[in-house]
Amino acid sequence: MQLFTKSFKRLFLPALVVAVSASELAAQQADSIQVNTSVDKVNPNQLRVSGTVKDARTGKPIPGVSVSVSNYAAALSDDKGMFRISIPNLNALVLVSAQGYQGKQVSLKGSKKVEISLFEDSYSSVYDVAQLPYGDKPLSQTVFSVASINTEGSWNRANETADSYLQGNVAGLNATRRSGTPGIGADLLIRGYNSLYATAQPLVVVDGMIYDLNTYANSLISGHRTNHLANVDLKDIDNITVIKDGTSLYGTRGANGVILITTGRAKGEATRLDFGAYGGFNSKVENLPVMGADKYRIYLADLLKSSGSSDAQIGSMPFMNEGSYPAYSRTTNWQDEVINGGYSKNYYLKVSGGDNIATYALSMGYLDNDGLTKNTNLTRYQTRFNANLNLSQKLKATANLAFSRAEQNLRDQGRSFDTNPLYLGLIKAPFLYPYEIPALGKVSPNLAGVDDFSMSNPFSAVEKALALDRNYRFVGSVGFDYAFNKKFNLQSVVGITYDKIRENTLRPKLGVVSEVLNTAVGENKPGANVVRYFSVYTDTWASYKHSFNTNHSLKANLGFRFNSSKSESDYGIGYNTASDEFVTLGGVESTLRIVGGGIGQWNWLNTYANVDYNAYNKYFLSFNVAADASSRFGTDAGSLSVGGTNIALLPAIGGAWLISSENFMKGQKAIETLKLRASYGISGNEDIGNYGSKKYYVSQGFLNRQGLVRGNIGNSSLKWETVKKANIGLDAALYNERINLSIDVYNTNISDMLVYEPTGSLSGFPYALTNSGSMQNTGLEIAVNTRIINNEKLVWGMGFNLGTYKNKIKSLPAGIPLNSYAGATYLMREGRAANLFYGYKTNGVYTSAAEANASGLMNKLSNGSLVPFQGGDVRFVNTNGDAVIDKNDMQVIGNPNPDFVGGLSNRLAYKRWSLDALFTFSVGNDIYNATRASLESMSGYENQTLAVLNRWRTDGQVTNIPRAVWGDPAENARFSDRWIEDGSYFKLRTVSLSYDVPFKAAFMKYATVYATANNVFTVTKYLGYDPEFSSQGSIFARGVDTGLEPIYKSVQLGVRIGL
Amino acid sequence: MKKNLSGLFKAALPVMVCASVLSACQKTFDLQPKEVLVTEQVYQNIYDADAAVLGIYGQFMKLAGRYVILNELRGDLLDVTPKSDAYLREISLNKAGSDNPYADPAPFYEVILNCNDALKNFEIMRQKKLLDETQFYQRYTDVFFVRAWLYLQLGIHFGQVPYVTEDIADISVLKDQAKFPRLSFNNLLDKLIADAVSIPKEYLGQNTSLVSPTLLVPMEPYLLKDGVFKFFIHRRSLLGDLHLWKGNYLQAAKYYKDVMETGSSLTTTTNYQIDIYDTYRITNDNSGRNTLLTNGTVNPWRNIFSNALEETETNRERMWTLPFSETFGPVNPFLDLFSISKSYVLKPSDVARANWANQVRTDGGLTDRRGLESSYRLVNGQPEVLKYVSNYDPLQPFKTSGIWMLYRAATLHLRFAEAANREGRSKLASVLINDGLYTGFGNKVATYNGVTDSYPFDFDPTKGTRNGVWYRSIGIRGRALNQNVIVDSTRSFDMAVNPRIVKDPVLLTQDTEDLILNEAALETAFEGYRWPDLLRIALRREKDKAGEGVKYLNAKLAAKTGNPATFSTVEDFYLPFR
Repeated sequence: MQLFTKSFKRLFLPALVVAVSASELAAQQADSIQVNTSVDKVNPNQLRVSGTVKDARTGKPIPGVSVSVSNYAAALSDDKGMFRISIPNLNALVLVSAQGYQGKQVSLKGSKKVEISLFEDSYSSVYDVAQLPYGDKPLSQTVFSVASINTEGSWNRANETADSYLQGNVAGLNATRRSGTPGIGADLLIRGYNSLYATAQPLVVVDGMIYDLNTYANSLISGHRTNHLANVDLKDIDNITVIKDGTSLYGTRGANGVILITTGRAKGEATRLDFGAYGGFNSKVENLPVMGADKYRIYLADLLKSSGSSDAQIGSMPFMNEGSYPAYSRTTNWQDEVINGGYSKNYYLKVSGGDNIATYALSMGYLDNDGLTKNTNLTRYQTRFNANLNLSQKLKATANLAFSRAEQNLRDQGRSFDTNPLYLGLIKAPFLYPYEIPALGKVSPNLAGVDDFSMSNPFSAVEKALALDRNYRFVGSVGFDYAFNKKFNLQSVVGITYDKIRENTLRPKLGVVSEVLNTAVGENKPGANVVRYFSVYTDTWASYKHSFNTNHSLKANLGFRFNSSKSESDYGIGYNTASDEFVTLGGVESTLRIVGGGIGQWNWLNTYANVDYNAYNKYFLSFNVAADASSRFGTDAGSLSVGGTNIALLPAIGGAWLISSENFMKGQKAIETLKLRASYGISGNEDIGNYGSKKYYVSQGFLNRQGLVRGNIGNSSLKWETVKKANIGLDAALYNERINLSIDVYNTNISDMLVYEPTGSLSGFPYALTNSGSMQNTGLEIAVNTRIINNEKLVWGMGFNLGTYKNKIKSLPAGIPLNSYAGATYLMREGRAANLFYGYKTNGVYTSAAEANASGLMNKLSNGSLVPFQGGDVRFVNTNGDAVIDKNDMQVIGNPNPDFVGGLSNRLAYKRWSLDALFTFSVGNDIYNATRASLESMSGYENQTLAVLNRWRTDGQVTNIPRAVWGDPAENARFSDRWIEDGSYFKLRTVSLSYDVPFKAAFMKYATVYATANNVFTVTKYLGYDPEFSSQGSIFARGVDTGLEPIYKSVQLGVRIGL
Repeated sequence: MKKNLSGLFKAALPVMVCASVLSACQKTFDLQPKEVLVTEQVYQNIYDADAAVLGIYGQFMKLAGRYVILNELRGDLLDVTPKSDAYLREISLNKAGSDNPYADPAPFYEVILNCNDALKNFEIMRQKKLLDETQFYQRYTDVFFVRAWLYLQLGIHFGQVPYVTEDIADISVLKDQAKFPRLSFNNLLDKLIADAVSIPKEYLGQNTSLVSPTLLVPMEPYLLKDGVFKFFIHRRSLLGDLHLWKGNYLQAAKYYKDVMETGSSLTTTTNYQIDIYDTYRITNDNSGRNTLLTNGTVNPWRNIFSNALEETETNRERMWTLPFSETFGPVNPFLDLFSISKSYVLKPSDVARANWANQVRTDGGLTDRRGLESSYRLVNGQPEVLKYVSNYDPLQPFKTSGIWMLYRAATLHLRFAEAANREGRSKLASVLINDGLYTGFGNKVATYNGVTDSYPFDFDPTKGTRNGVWYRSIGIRGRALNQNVIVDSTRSFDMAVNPRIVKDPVLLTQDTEDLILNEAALETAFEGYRWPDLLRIALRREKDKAGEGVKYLNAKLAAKTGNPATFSTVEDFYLPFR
């Protein structure tokens, strides 16, 4: 205990503003502070201020609170919570910190007596410390829009990844979970899409190192993306700081905002051991309502009749004669054959400790989580080692090493119609069976092959197919901090990232439709893929701080970041091995082997400078500037060139006025803190392709020889996208911090935006990549945190955040065509949002041939032919008044961008119990339900939803479901508002109950038991499985439900033990 | 220990500062791509130059389907089927809308871009002495003529087109669209002819392996024989075509004649495994195995379109062919377009079939042997173009090898006849399309106005102790074993005097031209010449007498479409350029 106390003083008292984020309960921690009444002994004749520190919850005084004035004086509160401290003048800021409590920067507002109440350290408030790249800073002093979350490991949400964890937690950060696949994570958007074709994902920095989230090759597994952020265990994370504007310091990589993740380090020298173990159950999703065998037979008869078969022919088909043909007489629920519930396991161990020279934190984790599709699961091992070294009085060092390995069994998802089990489970004829049934009717143990309708056996797609993804990531860095004197420091972080993904796939022959290739029939298809990424990163900066007198202080940093990255991908696929058991590429038919891949290399240098100025602790000014060079920029990319290298110069300026610290606010008891912020900055996006600026040549075969042809039209002036952000914000803490409020209004202008500019027929290429678009995002964010009930026994806190924005294309080159993705068409036009669904409006179904005739409309099909509408065809809305329904009648039929998204969090604590509930919502976003489009198109043998029972069959029938015709010759299933649905939802995202077990055992410090339920309910009108998904990060894939594994409900029970 | 470490750090400091300065240097930010090649990495040696040529031909082959659709479906011999989509129907009716994917000039310009790139860089390589004169010209000329061929196609179909010869290396080049004015077809021809003057005469022969040993190496599965050099564009015949389009008939005839006499002007080399004597002459070599006469149980004439590339007799006929291989891309597009067992969107028109049915053979019977079972066949009563599918067996769907025939001797003879006729040699022209020079001129050197004709019309078909080089000539109809066709003498000859005197040379020329055109329909149907032939005649007659050309084309198309007024002006002949 003595050792602990000593180290506590030495480490924490001089460290002025440190949010002590231990996870223990406040009450237990308070005991460990040695109470001694302390009066400042430095300047006895100086101006003094006195005050009391109370626990905001109990109202009881807190003894032993460290009270200080920066570079001036320090004191501790006595057992009545009282303190006295010298101050240079009444503008001084009194810094308060105590273990287990929030840190606070108290403004005197001209008063010599202050009353301070402290909430527990997990309380989210304006005094939270944002862990910014060049040092920590309390949110009450930031000039930019910054949010900070002290995750403290979030032990109650063990199976989450950092990206999905952020959902509903930060205003203006829209996290959309990609699918229900374990570990798949979420697409993150800070303040909307700031780019069309370059990345829109924020930059992630983990412990000072840029953490590359891209995968530099497509997966061989349909619908799958590797989530690199899953390699950082949430339980390792201490703090996540989200910088929404003022990211100029990250230059051309800061356009989409920056997420800084800080992993846990040793909290002290004492050896501590944290252990967590979880087990859980994943439930199935509710089946979509598809037809059973009887209804499906009637549908088939209708369909076959439309293709010209006679009643007698149809009647003689084996599947029409239930009973006579056992193989066609089953009633199989195929959805149940391909999906199942599952289990999850998660173990975690962390050891930390050290001595006065070195402290360390070592953690290890193991996760095993079953997927929704049968035979799929994720296994991950993680380890992380963080060390801090005091090498000398002046030199400190850090080391961070993390390695993780994940192995994931998957199956094809999305639009792989022959191999996606989930899709096959919906469309497969229900009278068939997973196993062969010979004529006598006994079920054979052999899996059934491809059926008479050329449809794969869904069961084979889960049992025989292989889709294995293994990925590894090593991130290692060392950092140095050398203090030349009190004013100058030099710091550096140097590290490497090595990432590797290996994939092995097999499309089996048994039960899966063969592929028809140009030169052969591909019966089975093994594939292998390796994607490597390696990067060296360094961030080196000199910092300077100086206080001119007690009222003015200045901090400045000058540094550079250099990032050299290489990626390589190599894949091979082949066909026709000897059998499905023989899945190596060596065994494929040599003439059918396809190999390919890509190699990329790029360098980025970001030289930056920043000056923070603070006057009277009320006025804050920050100036940042970055000068970026990148190997991606064209040779004529900019006006500024240094030594032949083009430079992007990106400044930002921001100011904040802490109004509440003004003397005139003295009387405003209700307003504890009120800060007005304004900032304007320019950042960039350098994700413009590695060599789009250069004219290059690609290979072109001529018989068995290789020639070279042009791969593009070069664009030597290709440059970064310029993103100008203006932000005005207000941060407030009211009624003794019972209400914390943050409001931001912003306007983001993107210029030099990358587009594929049409170049005309004579150029030889249809498009060239140019910086010729511009776009605007205007938005509003509100974050509120309240403590509604706050007493000794019961605490109820509620947090609410909401973000909304409007996206608008400001300029585009002429002739930009429509974008398509998975059957959806997006319109991109000046003055409108960039990705509006653009298709046909419908108005029911022609009730009769006569009515169709009377319309006088002709139907222009995609092959250009004109046919008249018939009874039972969809009434497409004619917008231009001509007599033809064609592409000129297309109009905006939906907007995939939500009107607003946000989260509602509740925390209820009673004695040793606490209950957390997070609701998330998205309102006003439209979804193109591509799965339903195939399940209600009525054009082939695919089983359909029950909705098609209402299909048009006879003249005069009024319905909104068209006729069933083989091949859908009238294209009734074209992209129209029939498939656009409201994707708004309100979801009980996570609810967790924890109980702190009272322990008296000496060896055990604490134990907590958790019960967590995820995705408990979703209120939505959406007809698909779940309205939350993201099949691609691209703006032109947003809102398209391609049929990925849906998000499912799950529960976990867990225990955390501290030794 | 502490001191040491901090010392180390102090020592490391200058290194880090240096690194930061170094990292800022230009080299760091001028990385060479690793998966593609940039300008500095190509055109470094002769193999790079060869790669450029091969790349262009690789791309060129992707135009095959579009070439046949535009050049035949717009004419009267090829028609749509019930399976054809509306866009093909539009092409067939010559009513293509602006969204018609076949009426898109962009695929031609894609190859032109590469031609321009290669031409510019070949010049640079020549200046840098990376290519010697012969190496340079063999490659430069090939690419040059491929580009000219592409522009001729663009002119034929789009009329007014931009003549881009500048390398569009960077997007900035496109900023000034004034640099790419659209030339009328006529001006385009002037440009193409004028630009071709720069090519020295000795490089007008088709590329052979002897002059380009690096470019022409055996290609699996094709041996280094005739087939190989026939991959490359036939330069002189293209020059002939340019002049024929322009109306320089004498110059056109000269180029054609030089090609027709390839067999007697070329030295024999190991590359010529064939008996070169009969090359491009349409002859009967009297060996008893001439495979191209339309007799025999299986008509050998059809082998022109199906024989292996290195086969001797067919190589006397084939001049420029590009092979589609079942092993390498691109996939043979013709099977899908024509085969009944595949998409079957194109079929012979009734006009074409009736034309064959109406020919009289030498044996007195009706129907031309080049029609049914040669140019087309009936499968379950449905007509199918056989020229493209004769080697295709639906039971072996992956055996898709085939050839794209771009030029052959019959085309050459027909074009020569057309030029000669316009130079007053109606007799010579009709002899060439009928039963040949030997019979036509009665064992005498070709005459004009009663005297022995001069170059390029000086054919020597005499047979005696020393045979003239044309004595084996059997003519196009002769080879088809058809009876001769003759003009209606009463229209253009003064029948009262003997020997007859031409009373209306214009009418004689026009009537002979009609015969040539009809023979072209019989001989070369579906091969991609019909629309250009009709258009050329129409433009010529329009020039002779306003309105005649429009009338001519309307009449030809009306036979297929039933629409007597497809075009109202010459501008209507062309597709909209976009």
